[in-house]
Amino acid sequence: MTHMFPRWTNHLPTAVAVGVPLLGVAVVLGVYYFFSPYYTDVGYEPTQPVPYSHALHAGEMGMDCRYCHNTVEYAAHAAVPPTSTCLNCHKYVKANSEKLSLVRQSGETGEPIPWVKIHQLPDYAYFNHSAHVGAGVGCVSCHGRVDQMEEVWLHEPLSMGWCLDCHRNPEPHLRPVSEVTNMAYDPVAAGYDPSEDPNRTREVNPPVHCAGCHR
Amino acid sequence: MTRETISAAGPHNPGRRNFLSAVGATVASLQTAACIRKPYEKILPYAERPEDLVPGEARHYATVWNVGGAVQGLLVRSTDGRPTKVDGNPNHPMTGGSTIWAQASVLSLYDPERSKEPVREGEGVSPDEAVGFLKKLPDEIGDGSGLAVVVPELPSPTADRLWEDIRAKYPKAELYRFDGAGTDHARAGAAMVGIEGAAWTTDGTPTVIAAFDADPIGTEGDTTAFTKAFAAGRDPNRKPAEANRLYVVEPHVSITGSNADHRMAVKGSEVGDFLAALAHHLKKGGLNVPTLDAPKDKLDSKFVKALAKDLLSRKRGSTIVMVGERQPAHVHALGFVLNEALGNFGKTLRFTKQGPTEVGALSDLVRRMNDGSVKQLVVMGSNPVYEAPADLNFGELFQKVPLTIHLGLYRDETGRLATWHIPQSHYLESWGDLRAREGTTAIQQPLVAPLYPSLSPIEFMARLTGAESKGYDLVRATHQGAISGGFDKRWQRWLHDGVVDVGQAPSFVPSVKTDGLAAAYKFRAERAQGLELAFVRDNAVLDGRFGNSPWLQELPDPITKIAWDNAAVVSPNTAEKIGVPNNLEQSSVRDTVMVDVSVGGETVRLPVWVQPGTAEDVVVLSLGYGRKHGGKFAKSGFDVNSLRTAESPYIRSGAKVTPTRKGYAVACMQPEASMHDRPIVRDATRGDFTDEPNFVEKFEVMDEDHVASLLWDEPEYTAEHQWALTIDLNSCVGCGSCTVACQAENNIPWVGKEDALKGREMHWIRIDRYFEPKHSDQVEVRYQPMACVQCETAPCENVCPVGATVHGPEGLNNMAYNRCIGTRYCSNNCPYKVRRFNFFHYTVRNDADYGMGIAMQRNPDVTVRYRGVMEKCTYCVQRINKARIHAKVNGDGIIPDGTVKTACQEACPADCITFGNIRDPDSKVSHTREDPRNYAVLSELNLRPRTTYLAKLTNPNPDLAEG
Repeated sequence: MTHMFPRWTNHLPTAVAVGVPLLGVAVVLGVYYFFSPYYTDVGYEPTQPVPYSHALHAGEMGMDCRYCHNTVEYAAHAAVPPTSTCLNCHKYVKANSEKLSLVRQSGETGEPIPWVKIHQLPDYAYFNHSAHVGAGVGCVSCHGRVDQMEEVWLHEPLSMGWCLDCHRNPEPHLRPVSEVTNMAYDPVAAGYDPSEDPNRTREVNPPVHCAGCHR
Repeated sequence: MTRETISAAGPHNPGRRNFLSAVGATVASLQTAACIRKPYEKILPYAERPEDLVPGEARHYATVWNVGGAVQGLLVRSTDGRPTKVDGNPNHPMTGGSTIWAQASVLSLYDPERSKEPVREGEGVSPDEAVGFLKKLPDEIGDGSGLAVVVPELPSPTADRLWEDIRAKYPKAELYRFDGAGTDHARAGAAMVGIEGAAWTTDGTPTVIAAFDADPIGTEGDTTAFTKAFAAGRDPNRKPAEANRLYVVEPHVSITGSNADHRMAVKGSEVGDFLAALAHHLKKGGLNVPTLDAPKDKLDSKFVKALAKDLLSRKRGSTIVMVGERQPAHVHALGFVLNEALGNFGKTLRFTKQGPTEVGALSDLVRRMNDGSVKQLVVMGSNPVYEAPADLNFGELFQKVPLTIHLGLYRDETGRLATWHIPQSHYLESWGDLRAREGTTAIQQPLVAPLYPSLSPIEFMARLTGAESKGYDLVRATHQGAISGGFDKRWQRWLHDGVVDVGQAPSFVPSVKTDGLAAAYKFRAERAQGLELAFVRDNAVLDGRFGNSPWLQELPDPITKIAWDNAAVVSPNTAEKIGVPNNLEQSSVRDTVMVDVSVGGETVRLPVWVQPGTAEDVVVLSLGYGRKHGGKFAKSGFDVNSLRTAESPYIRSGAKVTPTRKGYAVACMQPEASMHDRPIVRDATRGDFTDEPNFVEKFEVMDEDHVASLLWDEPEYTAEHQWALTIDLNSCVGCGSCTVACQAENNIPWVGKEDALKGREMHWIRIDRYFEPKHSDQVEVRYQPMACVQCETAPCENVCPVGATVHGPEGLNNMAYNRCIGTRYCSNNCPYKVRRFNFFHYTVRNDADYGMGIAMQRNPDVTVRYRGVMEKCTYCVQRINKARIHAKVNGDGIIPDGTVKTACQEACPADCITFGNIRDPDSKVSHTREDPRNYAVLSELNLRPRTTYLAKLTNPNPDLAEG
């Protein structure tokens, strides 16, 4: 009786037995990493219509975040500033700069500057800045060292799992409310203990149920 | 992309393996591209942000509007400059909660079928051209001898002032009033007894309310203020002598009638006779009223005798006799006489001096149009071509007038026939002022600039005099003189509060002349035979003006539960006489019989609907449906105006009804009327409640020991806030404001008639109504608002395969829409049937119907749901979250009682909904849950619902006790 299959096929079952699970693991790990926002979203750095440098304004010159994002302490949105905020200074500083032509144009016509959104949550997730700032979560926790970014890029994945990591265990991410906009502050190095902070009137108790963020 | 990838895989030898791998790679890369990269979005900040504006944060502004002269103060929520929600302004004296119309008015602002440009003889023209025409108009009018102006009910001080200007400029001009929701009969009745130049209002405080074909809770008068006081007057804690008792005599089951303690169903034409009989008995009781003819059978009526006795037994000035607009003037006149005799003037019936007095009625205008003396006819904000009774032949006469100008929100039936149609600004786009019948003025401030080039009524009136003033200046000019100095500051205060604190219309107590009454009130011995038609203003679309609101069209009628249609409503006995089956017994909504209703040579074909409680030999026809040019939603239903006459616009005898064919589908949202002896709505009389305060327990179908065992571990709710809601069935009047308010707040789509017929309506809160369907003319209606009751041991959660509905720590049954895969197991397992499923992409369908408009109305704080997703009431969790964040940021995280109001609670004119935290023993909701009337629906299932109900109490007159 002749062999119906060539000899090398004898190794096939072994190869399949070893290869398929390996492949499966590879696919799972691949999807887990490459399809996750850690890979797809972090580092997203679109080109903005105006080459505004956070490194210069917030870093070098040390402007407080709240000078421009002034609604952050009492509203859900840390609103992108209106053109008039830019022009408060740039009426006088670099008033003729080529890079600022769109800003001047917007100030004259009233047409908004079309900034590109970087920190984007799905429409069914309702994030509130004031709640986080009020609890002493620093800007840097979610946005990274914006004061060192020439053009802002997405520093954290902003995925639900990433949110929940902190909501389940907020303490390491808390700092005194006065240090919220201090990009260089490190609560661990400073030895900050929220339970000892006399300015805290209540325990931080972030929601971990669905309706905390979805409604 | 697909083609590229495939060709890259090898064009020379496209073998099967290559092909498959190419397809696999293509699918994978497409999915990667489609799912993973978030959409590219822009942020467009203001170039210059208005002071105090915080992007994304809602703000509220006070304004005011009126429906048929009933002024309502409103608070409108504006989100980033878009009005998104309308509610009652608690500062305004005539507002408690809000009506369905106020709730739905925010949608009509964005109606894509609103009139967008001026039209001359059927051709759209530029706004400039219309402005030019209006500029030249005064020359054409001359001294005004040919000018007739038709105005709606517009109780505005600025409008009154502008009338004086118009009269001064055109001394011979004539003014006529026409409003499909107006009060012509009441005004004529008042004039018969010598009351002129007055407005009057009844609050709900009287202890005996006798409504003769009146519907003060539903479609007539200052409904919300009345309802609020009426509901408060039924508080079980009131002493028996102070608790109110409502008697209703009417042909159809109105909302008021459905709330009556005693109701008598009689033909509309006989209501006046019953009032005369009442007058007779009151006279016998010692009151000074004229002797009137009343037929013997009415005099012998046990109901009337008991009512008279009850009225006489109360303190003077603490009762009210109300007569509805459907009744002719002489019945109203008698109503005034009786109220005066009962001492109610100035107490339960309050008068204020207001309004121009020399205003004619539509029939006077038609007389002038007939003789050709009207050369220029201006119709402002009303639609007489559609609404006027057919025998006036208004449409035809209208076209014979050389110049007709129509100002309206829509280019409706009247607008189409007019020489000129001018778009009217929506009230949310207009400056104005309105004075309530009670006397308080409020400023109408716009929430947005007009979306289309348009004029507000007062701006239009100014144009008639040749002035081009802006509404803002016109209103300020009216009030500038009212105070000396510091006007701007006061003005700001008025705008903020929503009421003007000066210039109250003076109240007065008129005297009545009774001399002409007996002559007018002759008993007509001969009555026309056959069926009598009763024309009623619709509970949803009123006279048709709200016909193009899909929210209102889909809101089921409180009594019949019909949506998207009107029908010829008859009693079961009358149905048998006509020869049509009782649809309540067959519950075949798709197989309703069409009937021909004919009278005086006119015939209308519409479906017949059986409703117990309707008077015998009466056919009830709702107005406001079947409009030709009202917009695509307003087309639904059947126009019955052709059957009406000007002499008696709401009652017509001698009609014939012939069944034709079967098979019309009527979208009845609740064909089932009976509770089948289950204790869903629990009630008792006030007397029984006093004897046995815990009467609700007697209804329980299973004893507590049986109920108390659970198959699983006890759920623990430990969070600081434990939300609960109670609904007081004793206050609920069934109006439906909660349903519409919820729709506006929670982005709930409408589904249209076809899907409504399949039971796919999306209302998160519905109002169940129950009655015994076997009865004929007697009906006791029970209402029960029903939304998700947030069971602590929720059966929906156990069956969800994906954990899309799970409990939060605060006792809410949360919906994570994005997890839902649409198995609908939860809905199947919900014993209350309160879960709603998006069978289609209703949101996108709504977008298609409404253009960008509906997107502008949507509440950005609530997720817009997709096809295939289950949804339900969440106790307005977006409002809870907002309050919680505020409490956390600004304090200790505890939300004070009363901070969070659900949308339904805010809208409810009867204050029947209480919401709050039951962990706090002092909260209002904790107290209501301790009320002996508190019970849970389907308590035997041990679901521990967080929504509980307070049982209804009726207050029957012992003299009328059965048996």
